[in-house]
Amino acid sequence: MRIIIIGNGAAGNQAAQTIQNRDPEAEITILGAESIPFYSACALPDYLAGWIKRDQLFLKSSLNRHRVEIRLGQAVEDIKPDRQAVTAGGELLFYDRLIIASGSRPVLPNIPGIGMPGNFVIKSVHDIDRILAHNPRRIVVIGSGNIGIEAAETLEYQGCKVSIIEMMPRIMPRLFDEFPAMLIRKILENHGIEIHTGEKAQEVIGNNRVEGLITDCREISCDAVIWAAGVRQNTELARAAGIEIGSLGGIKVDSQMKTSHPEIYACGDCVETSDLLTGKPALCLLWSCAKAQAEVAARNCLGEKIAYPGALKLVAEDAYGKPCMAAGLLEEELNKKELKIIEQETENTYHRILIENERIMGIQAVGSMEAMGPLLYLMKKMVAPSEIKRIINSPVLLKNMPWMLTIDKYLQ
Amino acid sequence: MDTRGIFIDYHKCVGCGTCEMVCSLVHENACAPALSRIRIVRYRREALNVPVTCAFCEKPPCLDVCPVGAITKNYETGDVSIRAELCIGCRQCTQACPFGHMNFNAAQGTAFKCDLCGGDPQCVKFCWTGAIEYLDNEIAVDIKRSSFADSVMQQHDK
Amino acid sequence: MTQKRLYHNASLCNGCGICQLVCTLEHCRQWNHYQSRIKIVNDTERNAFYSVCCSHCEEAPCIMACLMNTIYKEPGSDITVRDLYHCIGCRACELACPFDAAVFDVIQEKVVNCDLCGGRPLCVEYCPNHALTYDYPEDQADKNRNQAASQKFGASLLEVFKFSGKEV
Repeated sequence: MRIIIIGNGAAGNQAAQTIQNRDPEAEITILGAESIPFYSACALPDYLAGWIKRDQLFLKSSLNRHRVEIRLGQAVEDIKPDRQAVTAGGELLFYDRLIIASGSRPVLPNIPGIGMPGNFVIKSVHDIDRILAHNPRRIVVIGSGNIGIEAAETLEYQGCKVSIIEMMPRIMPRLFDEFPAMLIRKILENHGIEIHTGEKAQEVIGNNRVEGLITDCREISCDAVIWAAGVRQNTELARAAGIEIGSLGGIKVDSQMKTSHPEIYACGDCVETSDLLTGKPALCLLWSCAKAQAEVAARNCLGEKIAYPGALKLVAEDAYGKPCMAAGLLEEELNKKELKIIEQETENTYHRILIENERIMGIQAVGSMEAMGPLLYLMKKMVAPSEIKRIINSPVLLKNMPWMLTIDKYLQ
Repeated sequence: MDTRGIFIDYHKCVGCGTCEMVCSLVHENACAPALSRIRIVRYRREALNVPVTCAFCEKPPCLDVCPVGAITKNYETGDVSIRAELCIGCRQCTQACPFGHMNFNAAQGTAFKCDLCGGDPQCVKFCWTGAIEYLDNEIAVDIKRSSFADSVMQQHDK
Repeated sequence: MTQKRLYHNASLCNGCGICQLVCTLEHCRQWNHYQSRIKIVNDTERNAFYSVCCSHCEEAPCIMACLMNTIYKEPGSDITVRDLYHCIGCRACELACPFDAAVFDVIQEKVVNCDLCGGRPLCVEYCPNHALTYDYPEDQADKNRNQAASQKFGASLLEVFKFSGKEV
């Protein structure tokens, strides 16, 4: 079977690996637009901070090179679903199954001065190389998502003066509720990061080089601006080939990761799947989701019938040595009437569990991740809190699942 | 609701192992007792043989310990089943089962359990002593009750 | 042949914590049970001790969660091992572990799990109560089944046999 994978990222490589493990005879071609080998995008902030070397970014792959052809620097120009072929580098490549894992790209707003040198995004190794070459000292980070916070933290570690501009009234607005977000904000501010919420960037000023940023409240002088205000799915290829696009802007796939064409599958950042907890369409641009989706897509390609249960929003973040994590939904996304919030605060830690209709719908933790893993699985399994109590109190079971004891203290 | 289940009469079992052979042959295409869902524990000194199979518990401990939800219970039919494609092979269920029924296929890396052959258990069909029976709960308990009553009667006659 | 694994018998454990100490001494060269790969949990309500340790899942969730592909199955055996050179200490695997068995090593700033001491676990060797055993899963399963059969069936059966006057 000839399988072509578009994209040399986490999803593309995981798909190739799964196919090779299950069918060593399959002929796999990976087409990557970037001309560098497979690397981990999640470690880019660590590279920026200098905690890891450049070679540590590149991941070792156990793909058998006799059967897998990796073409780097060859962007796919066209997908021809009726001929079962793609064109890359002027060459026509035929496939039996196609997996689209084209990923995403950062969004840049259309404001004056955005094209000047000194405006950066954080998406690939080259972006980091460019920032390091620029060697900025005073930086403004736009957006306080996962990428924005990590970038701010690592740049601060390098000795830069960093400011964060967030449009919403709190930092990490899509990941944390108000109180935990405030705790993280305090940690960051104690380390000298300036945070301005509820502000919008309006103009980048400077002569041939970034010299400052104007928001609707203030003017900040800086020599670099990092845009981390969200990402957009790369769906142009799929759209041009007539593949259905979902309402949220990702490639629409069913639970088997199949697109509207029966031979074409999609996985990774570019797809729109359903949420595990609510079942509604959702975008989940996370490494772990991409890998899980790729595995499902690859196995379905080979004729198995595997369903993807749905994406779960899950982030783990390190704020100056304090682990923070958030999973599932936020308070504002849930029904206020049936909502029950369990909060537990000590000097250094904070835990919040959101329960709706006897189901755990969200977990947030700052300072400690103890027992959060097991709790996460109970959330995924949709076990009611009362049921967890029963399991904890059954001595037969406890012998086999002592980690339950640590959960007990959160559900008091 | 299907109230039928596998009932085992330990008096009748001679420990021949036919059920193990048939079970592994049906499910794994090999005559290997280690891959059988039903397993016989043999007490050689007491000449007692105890076939162990899934009890289809109402609150299955295996279901509770499974971290990924691969084990499910259908409350309509009472069936407890495992979905091999979700199993991560952590072996917690093999430890949690109070009967030691949960088995592990090391080659595939997944746990496996009795599925009642989809409603027609082959071990029952091939058990030539009649030790393993697939009966309605009511009938099985009825048999048990009357056999106990018989033994009381025998004592009384003596 | 499959890989031997660690088994903990809660009814024999008195919670002395020697396993944790030898584990940290072996792996971090210090007496610090917070760094131990095996954790002993105290259940104060039932006055019992249980252990938490990596169960070396066949399709381990930590492998899927790792952002750097540093976790893999050791070829030839089925234990989960880590390539710490590439680990960035992001703790994603710690979050992905359903058993809370991945441990964040604060000295190296990397996440570690039980490596079975390369086939000769020191915790088993030094356990004074023989609560920890290093056994083949098949043998352990047989033990479980025999125990279950004798507890659940055997004992009650023998009584029934006695009562009914049949020769056993």
